[in-house]
Amino acid sequence: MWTAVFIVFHLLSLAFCLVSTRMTFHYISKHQIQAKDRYLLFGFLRTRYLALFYVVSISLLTMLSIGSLVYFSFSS
Amino acid sequence: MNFWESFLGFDPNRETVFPGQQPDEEVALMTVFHWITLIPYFLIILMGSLGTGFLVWIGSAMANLSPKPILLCFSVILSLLIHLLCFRLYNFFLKVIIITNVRIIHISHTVFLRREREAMAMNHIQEFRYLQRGLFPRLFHYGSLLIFGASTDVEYIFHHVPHVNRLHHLLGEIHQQAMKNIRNGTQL
Repeated sequence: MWTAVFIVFHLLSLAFCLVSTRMTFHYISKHQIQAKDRYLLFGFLRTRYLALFYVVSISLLTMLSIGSLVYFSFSS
Repeated sequence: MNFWESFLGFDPNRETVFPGQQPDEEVALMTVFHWITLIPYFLIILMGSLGTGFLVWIGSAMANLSPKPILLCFSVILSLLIHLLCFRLYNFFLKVIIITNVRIIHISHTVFLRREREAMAMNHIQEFRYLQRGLFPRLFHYGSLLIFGASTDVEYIFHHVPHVNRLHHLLGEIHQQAMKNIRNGTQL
């Protein structure tokens, strides 16, 4: 029971991460505009690295968690 | 275009205009708000995660649990923590001020639930001021920008604007140019 809840939680977490990233960049990419004063142009490149961190960390966490759960299930 | 850019929706061939930009409208500046707005939220997250981690550690030590439930608990807490951090940052990057030669646009989106956009034409602006009061605003270069319209009830206040003095100078130049264009009859 708890194993199933745990797996579903991590899969939903991964789905939420991917959907929110896609939604965010749906708007951010529309606002990639040319500005004269680049000194004050904050944030729009950093968001790519943030998205990379978010997607990679949640994907790794999902894989490692489900993998370790499978390992514990078979080893016990 | 690689998979990552394709997933994020970056199109190298798209026109570099924002939605609703007029043909002769030029963007002078676009900025998100200052990162200091994130500090209280991050402190709450840090304290909450430290407290939860401590409780899990005490609980596992007292109950003498096997590694499996500890691992499950830890992975769930870590996952929630990453979501809280990144989702808040996404929302932070979706709140933008755009200053063009024609108007000031304030876009205040969130990832899922909120879509807000207001614009104020340059020729409706009567005056603008900026405020930097206190140690942190001076130290980290942020402040409040107050914009007053021609009628007294129109007023915009933006708090936590980064480099507010530079923004104020730039706004002054653009506003002066816009007024000059109106007088010459060349305004958009």
